[in-house]
Amino acid sequence: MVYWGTPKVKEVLETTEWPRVYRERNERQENSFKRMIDHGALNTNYGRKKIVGPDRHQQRAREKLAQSLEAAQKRVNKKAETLKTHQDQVAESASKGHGKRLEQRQRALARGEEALRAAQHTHANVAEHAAALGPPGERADRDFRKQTIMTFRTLLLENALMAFMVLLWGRLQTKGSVDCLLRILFERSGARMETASQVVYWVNTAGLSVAYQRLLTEVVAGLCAMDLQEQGKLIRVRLKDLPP
Amino acid sequence: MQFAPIQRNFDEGSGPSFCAGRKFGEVEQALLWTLLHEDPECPSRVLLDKVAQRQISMAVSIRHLNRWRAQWQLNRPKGRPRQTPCRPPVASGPEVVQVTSRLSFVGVHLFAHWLDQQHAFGPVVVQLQQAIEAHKCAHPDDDFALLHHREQTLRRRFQALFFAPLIGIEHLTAFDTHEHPLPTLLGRGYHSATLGQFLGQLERIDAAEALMPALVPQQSGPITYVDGHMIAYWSRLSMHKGKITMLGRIMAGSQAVIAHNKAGQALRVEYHPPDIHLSQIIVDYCSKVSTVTESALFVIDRAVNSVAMARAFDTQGLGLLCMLDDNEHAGLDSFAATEVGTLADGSKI
Repeated sequence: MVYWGTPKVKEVLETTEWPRVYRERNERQENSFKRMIDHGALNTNYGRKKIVGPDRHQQRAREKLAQSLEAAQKRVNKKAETLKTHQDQVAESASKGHGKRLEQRQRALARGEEALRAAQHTHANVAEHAAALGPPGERADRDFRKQTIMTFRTLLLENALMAFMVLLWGRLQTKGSVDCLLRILFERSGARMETASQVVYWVNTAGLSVAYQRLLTEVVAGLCAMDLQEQGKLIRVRLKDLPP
Repeated sequence: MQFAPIQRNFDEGSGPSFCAGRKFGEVEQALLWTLLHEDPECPSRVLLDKVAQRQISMAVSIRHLNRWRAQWQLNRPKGRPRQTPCRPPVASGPEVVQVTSRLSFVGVHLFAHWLDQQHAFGPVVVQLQQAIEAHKCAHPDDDFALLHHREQTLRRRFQALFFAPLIGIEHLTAFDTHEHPLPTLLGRGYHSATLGQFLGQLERIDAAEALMPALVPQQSGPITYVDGHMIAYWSRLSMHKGKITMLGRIMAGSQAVIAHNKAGQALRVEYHPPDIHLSQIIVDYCSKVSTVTESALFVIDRAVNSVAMARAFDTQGLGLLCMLDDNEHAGLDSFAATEVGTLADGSKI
């Protein structure tokens, strides 16, 4: 694989670091997009609004036709010059009394006339298409602001989840993914009891495999160690099948 | 008589004067008035039930009852009565304040408390309030609900949008059709109409751009990764076709250009129409990111491969690290290469 960089990159990063830094893009971005699609509703549309702007399709078609028209005009000019040359040559042969060469030059002149007619026809066609496009038009585009707010929401959520994960997994011996945490902790039901001094949350462990229960036990211990508070009261987390 | 004390109270002048009607006698009116005084927020249907419990027959409709309530100025405000977020205590013991025996999405509640402790929504609300003030100055004639929201309302509604994907709600309409734990999470529930209106009004003040600084951490690091993410768009309306065509897609949708720092934290997002290639907007985008994060090195995928792009970045004082496509070179023969070392995985540099 071939990596390239501008001089500024070379100043800051050793060349041997380039492959590693580039490959990290996969985890930082590609995998992050997948995670956000899964649990952050990244791909959900939240409505649209039309805003009228210049018709870019028409602009592109006009640019393309302008290029074709210019090329066709050049071709017509070139064919006209060739035809002029042939006409001069025919006149020269006629004045010098050539026999066979005159015939050859007359045939070449006829071919030149045909080629000029074809070039003129192409030019006329392209010009007709360009004229058919009409004056610069307008087209309705989507307004992305509503979508941007909700994508901002998703990014903020993902940032917060990552920070929470780093803090939580830092206290555990077993490591896991965001998806794993969402499945074994976030999506589970339970119960809540508030007393004068603390708030106790129970997490329902029903249906969890032994491995997940073991991980959830660690997660719960990690959460207790984080000293979470609710309105000044200490939060305790327990598994539901254990005595509170 | 059961209603004697009530009637005595009316005689003292605390109640209105009752006059018997065709369907509604004085006693019934007095009873209703008393019940309403005890609980002015009581819905009319519940009120009729209470009357029925006292074995008094009252052949009036709810509409009729509501007219009386309006006349006595004891009618309820519009909307459904607010439910208490938590159930009453069921456990015994002097210490227990409140017990919720069934709580869904326990982890989301714990996560929400952690976010509160980190004051995660503080910067968002501050940025929103600033955007609202800016809009008020720029459009003094505008008057819509968002411009008058309290800080608490802004926070709660944004939190409702924020937690929606974690509680299994992708589209706002699911707030009306799915059971969700917002009452226990935020202290009150929301319907899609409220949140849809909130979202529309956020769009009206262009809140997205104002909120972007809330994404940027205090220290972002020198390297920023940038990538585009195409989001397809489906619609029942006839629309023009976009750049990508696939069965079922009417329009390719939109392209979100998202920047992440080395720690994987998102820094900025911008949306562009799908027919505008990344190379047309990437230099401006990276300049904006660089201004906010002071990060000068950008790692971008092969969408921006070109010498012109490298020159444009260099002119802006930015660094660009990229990779060539396999079809853009024919191995080492395409380059004047000098071997500088071998990586741990055996690949030569």
